[in-house]
Amino acid sequence: MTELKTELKKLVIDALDLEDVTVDDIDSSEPLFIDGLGLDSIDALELGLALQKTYGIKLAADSEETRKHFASIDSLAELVASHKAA
Amino acid sequence: MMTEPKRLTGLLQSVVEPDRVVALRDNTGVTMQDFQHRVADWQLAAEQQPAAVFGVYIKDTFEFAAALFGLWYAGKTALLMGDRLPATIEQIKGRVGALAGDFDEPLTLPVIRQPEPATRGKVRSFPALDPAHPAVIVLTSGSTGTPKLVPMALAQLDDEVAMHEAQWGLVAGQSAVIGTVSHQHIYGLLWRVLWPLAGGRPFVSELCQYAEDALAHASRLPSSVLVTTPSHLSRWPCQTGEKAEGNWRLVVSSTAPLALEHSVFGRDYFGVPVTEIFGSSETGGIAWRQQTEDEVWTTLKGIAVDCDPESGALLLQSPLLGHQNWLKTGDRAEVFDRNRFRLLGRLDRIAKIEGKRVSLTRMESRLTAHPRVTEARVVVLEGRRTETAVVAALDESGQRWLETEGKRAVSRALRQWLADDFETPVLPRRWRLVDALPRNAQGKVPQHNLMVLFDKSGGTTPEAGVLNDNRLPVLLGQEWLAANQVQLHLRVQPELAFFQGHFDELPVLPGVAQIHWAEHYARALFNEKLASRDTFSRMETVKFQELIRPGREVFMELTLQPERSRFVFRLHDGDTAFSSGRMVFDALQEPI
Repeated sequence: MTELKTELKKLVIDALDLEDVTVDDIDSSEPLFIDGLGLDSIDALELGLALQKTYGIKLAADSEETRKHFASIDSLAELVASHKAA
Repeated sequence: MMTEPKRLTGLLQSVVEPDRVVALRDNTGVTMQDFQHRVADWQLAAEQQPAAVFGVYIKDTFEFAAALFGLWYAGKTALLMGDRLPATIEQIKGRVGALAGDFDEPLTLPVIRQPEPATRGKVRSFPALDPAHPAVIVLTSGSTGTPKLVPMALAQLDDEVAMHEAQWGLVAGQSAVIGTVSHQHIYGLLWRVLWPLAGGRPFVSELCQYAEDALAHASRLPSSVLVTTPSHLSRWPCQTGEKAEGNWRLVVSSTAPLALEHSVFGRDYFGVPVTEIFGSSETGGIAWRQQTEDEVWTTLKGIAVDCDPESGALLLQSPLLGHQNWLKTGDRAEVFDRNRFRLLGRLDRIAKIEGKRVSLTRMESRLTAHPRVTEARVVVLEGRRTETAVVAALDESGQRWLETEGKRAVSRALRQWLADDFETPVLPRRWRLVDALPRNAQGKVPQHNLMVLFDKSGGTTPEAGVLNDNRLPVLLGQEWLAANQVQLHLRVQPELAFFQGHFDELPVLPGVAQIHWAEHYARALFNEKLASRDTFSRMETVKFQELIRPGREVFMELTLQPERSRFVFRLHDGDTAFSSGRMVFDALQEPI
């Protein structure tokens, strides 16, 4: 799981082309949007695309569920792990 | 006795004062008669060339003035070159038929170097020049960042000189004019050459790049005028409370607004208020002020201003424009009585970021309002998404903040500072925290200097060895100055990939290439000390002060500071500093 989280952090940094942020800077439980990393709705779209490309996960663009998955690296990791298991 | 000010068109018409000193060269007076002889030499040489436009670069101001008048009398136009590098010549080749001045390389264009002096007989009389003659073409940096060619008729130069003479002629009297700016640019041309000639006061033929040179001249002269810029005034080397040598009658500053503190310094140091001139190559002079008396600008004689009710822009009506229409400038202003105004900054620059409109001007003001930010510029980057990016200059406490907390924490705090006023999608995502904005020699911050700081390939680090021969300079020499300090002698050959087809105008060495070179050589030379660290995490205090043109030889000084996990690079040629900065290694595992 730790490995997956690191992988996801890297994905977030690469997909969103974040500057001055390293894997170590991202707290797995920290909110990705607004408060924590300060990401916005355009980033959510980019991240959705990256997840689709990397793991084949499709998420409805603006659903309550998507928002829940995107809350943090922890929740994203759960999503990816369950998708892999399925 | 005051001399009647002359129009430039009729300056040489009659030799009423053949012995009048027009210039001081090596501390010796050069007379009006000498000037006329030399103008005749240049005229003769220019007439033998079919070219209509000459690229002119002459170091000595007297020789330059004579060449200019000689070209005009031969019916030719002078394109003023900022330098004489091969690449510059290559760029203007389409616009000029020949060159005039200090050129020594083998050239593809015909050139007049120093014409042979003809036998010195009686000075022949010159007719009046045609005011409509296309006298000069000046190169201006322009607010867009791309250099622009601005042609000017003799009447425009003549009218502007007359305007300044009407305002400052009495104050300056016959004082000698000393300058820290080159006559190869419009400000120096007007103030160091044409205004002294028309006003009957001598000019010092040497450019005084150092304060000491200017003071040495002034100490030998009965009275002096200084033509300078905020770049020089803000860096004038002297002790607090010290007074300048010499008897200064007028100190003129132009090309950028002068900070109030430097205006106060100038007045106390030179004993006269610093007179700032506001204008541009495109508009000519517009207004003046002496901030220590009043921060409001007053228009020069014959110029009217108004405020555009819609945009708040300063509107201008000036005889120097060659028409009677109102011209909308790019500055916002508060106007009083049609002849006085206060500048309120550049007109709002509105950008559309991912569909949302944002005022970059407002974002800059908000950033500058932060207690640790002295100046800030916001640019728009087009990448994966359209985004704003900031170059912010921090004050001393800000620099300490950056050193202790790190770049990420500081940029995050600044982003938070903006978050109250701006929506998340328009908030800056890229930050360059510097101790001073990347200004050019004229004190301006060209867009190009800001953009190179965000060059995508500059943000990430190429593997050592990725730079092939076509992307590296010629290494002419290498000298170790200390165990952790090395100086490389480099030639920036014009064949480099960076100069191939990227430029609409004058090619320059991109900032990102300089950074790559610094890293490349640091890796090569400090190899054993760097081996354990494979990446550089960030650049700090990167400054690009002067452009590097193809063909130039430069020194690159690299200093490793292992205890601070960084190395410092500096590109210079002994006199001029081109760029400098620090590169910080990634995650500090152990001290090296």
